[in-house]
Amino acid sequence: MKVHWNRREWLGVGSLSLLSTWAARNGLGAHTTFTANGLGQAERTAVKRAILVWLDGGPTHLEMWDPKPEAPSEIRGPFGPVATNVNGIHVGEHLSRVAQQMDRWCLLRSLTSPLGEHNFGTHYLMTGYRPTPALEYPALGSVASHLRAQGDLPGHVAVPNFRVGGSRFSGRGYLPVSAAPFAIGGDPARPDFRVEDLTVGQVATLRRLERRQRYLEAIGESDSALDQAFRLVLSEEVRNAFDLAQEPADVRARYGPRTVGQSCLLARRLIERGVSFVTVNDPGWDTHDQAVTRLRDGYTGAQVPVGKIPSLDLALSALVDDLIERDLWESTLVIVMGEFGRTPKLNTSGGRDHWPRCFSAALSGAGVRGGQVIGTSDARGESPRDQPITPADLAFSIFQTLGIDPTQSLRTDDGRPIAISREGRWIEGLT
Amino acid sequence: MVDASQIRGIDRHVSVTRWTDRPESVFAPAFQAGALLLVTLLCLYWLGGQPTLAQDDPAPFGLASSLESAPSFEADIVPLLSQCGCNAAACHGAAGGRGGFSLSLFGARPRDDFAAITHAEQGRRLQWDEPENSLLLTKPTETIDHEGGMRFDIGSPPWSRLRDWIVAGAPYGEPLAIAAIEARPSVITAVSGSAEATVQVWAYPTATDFDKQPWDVTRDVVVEAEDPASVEVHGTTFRATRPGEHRVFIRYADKYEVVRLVVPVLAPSWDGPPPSTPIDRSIETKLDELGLIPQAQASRHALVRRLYLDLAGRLPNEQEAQDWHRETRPDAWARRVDVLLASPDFDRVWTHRLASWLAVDGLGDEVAAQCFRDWIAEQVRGDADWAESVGQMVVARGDSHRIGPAGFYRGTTDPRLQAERFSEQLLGTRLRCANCHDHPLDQWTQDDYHGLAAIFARVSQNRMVEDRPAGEVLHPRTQYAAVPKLPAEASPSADLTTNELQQWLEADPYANHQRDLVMVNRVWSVLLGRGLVHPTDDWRATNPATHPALLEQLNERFRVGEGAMRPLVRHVLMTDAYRRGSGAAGEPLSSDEQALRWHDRGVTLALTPELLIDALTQVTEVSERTTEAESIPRAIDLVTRATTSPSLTTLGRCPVGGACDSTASVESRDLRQGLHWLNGPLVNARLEQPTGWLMHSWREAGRADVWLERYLDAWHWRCFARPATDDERVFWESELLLANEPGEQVEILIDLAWTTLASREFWSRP
Repeated sequence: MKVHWNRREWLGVGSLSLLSTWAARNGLGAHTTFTANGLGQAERTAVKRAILVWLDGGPTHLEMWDPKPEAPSEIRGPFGPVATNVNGIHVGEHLSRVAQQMDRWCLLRSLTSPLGEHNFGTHYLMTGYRPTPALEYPALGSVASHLRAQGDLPGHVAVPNFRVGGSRFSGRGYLPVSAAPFAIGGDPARPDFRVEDLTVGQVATLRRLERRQRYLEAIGESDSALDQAFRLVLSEEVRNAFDLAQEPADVRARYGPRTVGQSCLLARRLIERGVSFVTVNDPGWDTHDQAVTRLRDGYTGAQVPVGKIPSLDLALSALVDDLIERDLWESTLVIVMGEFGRTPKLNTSGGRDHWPRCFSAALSGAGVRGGQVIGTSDARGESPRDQPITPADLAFSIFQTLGIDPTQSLRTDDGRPIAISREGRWIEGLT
Repeated sequence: MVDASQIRGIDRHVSVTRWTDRPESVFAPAFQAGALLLVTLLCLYWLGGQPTLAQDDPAPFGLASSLESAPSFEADIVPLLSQCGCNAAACHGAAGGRGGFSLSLFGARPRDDFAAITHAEQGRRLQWDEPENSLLLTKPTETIDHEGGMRFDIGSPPWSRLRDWIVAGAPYGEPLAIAAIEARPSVITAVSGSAEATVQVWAYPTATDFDKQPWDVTRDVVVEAEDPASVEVHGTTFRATRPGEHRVFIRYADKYEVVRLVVPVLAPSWDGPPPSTPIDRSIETKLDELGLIPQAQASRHALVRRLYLDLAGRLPNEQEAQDWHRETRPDAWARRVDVLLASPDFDRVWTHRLASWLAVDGLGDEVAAQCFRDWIAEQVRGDADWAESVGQMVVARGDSHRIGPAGFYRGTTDPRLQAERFSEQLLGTRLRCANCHDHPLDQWTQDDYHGLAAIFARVSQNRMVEDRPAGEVLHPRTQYAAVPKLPAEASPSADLTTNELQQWLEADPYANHQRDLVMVNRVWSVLLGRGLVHPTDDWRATNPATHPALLEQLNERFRVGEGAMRPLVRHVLMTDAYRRGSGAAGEPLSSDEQALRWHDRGVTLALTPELLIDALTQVTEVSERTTEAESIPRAIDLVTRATTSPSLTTLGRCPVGGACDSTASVESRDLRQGLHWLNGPLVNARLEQPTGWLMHSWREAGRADVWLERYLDAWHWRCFARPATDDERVFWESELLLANEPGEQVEILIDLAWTTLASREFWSRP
């Protein structure tokens, strides 16, 4: 039931020998297979990876990517716009760092969907398919993982978890469980951060873990989840990938102290080591009330704003700079989106409610042409004015950008072929 | 407030047919190409789900034949707006309309739509002097700019019909009064691998229209396949090629009809023993239709494991499992079922299930939660009539720390959310969409939603649950306080309270039937792995039961048993369907998904996180520790989320208030869970615990060979309700006896025992 996609298409002979030399030098046993470390330049650009910064709850388009400074105050909202380093493009004032690298970002301002409920909207944005009781579709990251996962690291990692859209969505959809997002289950911003259950010696020694693996095989009970668990625990490289303490203090500081920042940093470490897709889940964007506190300040009376937007601004700008410095930007797509936008008119609680009819997303890297806005909304940010983009179009274009043919089919458990994207169309001008 | 446009089930995945039957276009070809591109871009991929036009009939498309005298807005125009997708959620049917033009979703409120078309904006949408220049015609033909693209061509049948209506003076005309619609045929069975047919749809007049005959509305219906990947739809011609039963929904005005397409899965027929209960007769009639073969009974040990997990929420212990294996009495099964039904374990696990359906764990007030749960336990223990229990909850008043059923009001303090809890938990209906708009195919309208919320607004939802006569909620459409109203009753009334709501649940034929069906369906979903309506809290016209007759049959039993849990459970347990095995290896079998729908064989399911942890506790005799390091004897006894253990979270405990249907396949164990099993404390600590069963038995035995002799079978009885197989014995002996040093032997023992617990057999409910 696997798709006929060459899982190792990107792994040239050179890198294989490089890896085996590395493995031999480190005295690793035969059970430990490595593919992830030390990608050569060719591999770095050949295969595209992605970091999805998922703004769970429905991020406001009006305070972020699509400000309406000319609109009446109940539309305009509490914040102003800020100019970017690209002439004519403005974003919300609390995205000032991202504004200074706008030439690296492409804004989509005419996303539109009919689904204004968290579960449904999340399913639509994350899969490119509207939800149906007949079938759960796989998240973008799980499709990428299914087609490309290799080595010990899981192909789709969720940092710190995959509790999105009200937790009813597993992410793997109809794909096998090996494609499910691996939730690391710890907060990278905490000093005692570690991935749950990954530390060897916690319970069992290497020798005993190997024995257990052998026993399971002997009784015919090896199972992909347990197999992968063994590989994860037994791999030095995997543990290194998750070890944020190896990052210098100044790098950690750049990303900001909040969970979203440190999660983006961890995402970069994972991408660097060959993970196909990382979902950084940033909850708390369902800002029905107290938008100023939630979006800007973080808490009442904050001296330095540490709300959702400034924290995201730090995280995203550091991530893009870091990717550029490490020659990873050309091969890594950064996607920033949530399940819908917010009502153009402020409500009586000083917040905005759900608004799927028109909202925004931002993309950077992997060949996406920066410094541009695709699609516009009307004067109030209510409806797309031109070039309406559906979540299906967005999913289609993300796959295309990652070098995954969106028209190919994957198979469900009972063997029926399902197109990766059925309704989607390429977003003109994206690359 | 949620935006209106989310709709479940109706406005998605339907293809678009465009009216372009004019031989000549007034547009130049180049413009046509441009228009086509726009249509493709905008209609298909942006608006996505638009209804299929039902008719490719080239005949003139005048006003509906049902009303020859004068055109009628309801009969002639509204169906057209639905067919062309104008009133869909993505277009003008959205809560706030679109582009300043607002229609009710799928034409649920024709009078409002009439006003929007004929009067709103000073009537600028219609041009009396030049009907063909009316916005109503120039917009959808894209003669002028239309955000929604081209819906039909100039001169096409919809265009002609709209123009004729405007020419006639745009009258409202006769209201449309229909009792039902009927599709002929309504069941299409496959010939040579694919089911295909063209249906005709007839509307039936209401009973008061004596002189009226049924009339053909085929050309006006909107058609939608439940699973568009399985059924091709061309007008009212359907074709299904995938095995199984597929459903196509046909709607016209506020009526709908389901057409079933049946493509046999396997062999067309089969000979076997006759079904032993009426329930099995129903199931096997369906299996015959689908070409599925009922499989033989499950193995002894699988059956007893299934029985204990379902009825007692635990594994059979060594003694129980061995007794069962020695059984030879013909009524052994019934006896065992009755013993378990009478056991306190039954109360315990069914209290756990009922409490999760009523979202007791979502209560913030722990004392109230405990009190609510104790009351639920009492209902289960005393075989209370579900109808009465529901009534008690609805009218409960007083201190929720002392009066259990008052906990029903403690899950939220928002009357709207209380209305949602009421409808989801008790009537299995997701109300959320009705907050913002009507859905014509659902029982519930926006007025119902806010009318219900207005009733709940008069109950204070604090520790003291009391009447609060002045409480009210705002109706978003009128912007006034909503008037209390019983669901689906015609007239609101300012004096309605929860007493009337309770009487409605008792007396209204829809309400009391639905209340019982929801419970019956939940019981079925626990015992057979999937609700006949799935998910169990999503009842609506467009999500019908896989087997409606069976559901009714079960419901009759529920009533015969006076709404008590035990007789219903017993009834299901005595069926062949419940006892089926998973099928012989090497035979062609239905998929798990098919088997869960039609019950031709048993499906191996993953244990729920609570049952899995309890099973571990049971076989190792070491209990789970909570985050506060207290031990919990059984996870199914946990009352709220305040008490939890990290393992329970990792294993995927159902989110608060989530109606988790326990149908996960045993293959759904993921990496996070695998890692926890392997390297977390959940299993390892239990096996190493000196006072646990494993280490205790090891000390008792003193030596590896003695342990193998005395305890190897016992371990397998505990874990699997069977002795060790020969292969298992050989494997354990070869590993354990190989090591000489006792320290190493202990480690090997633990690792072997770990392997048992990591196996699919342990993780599953067979």
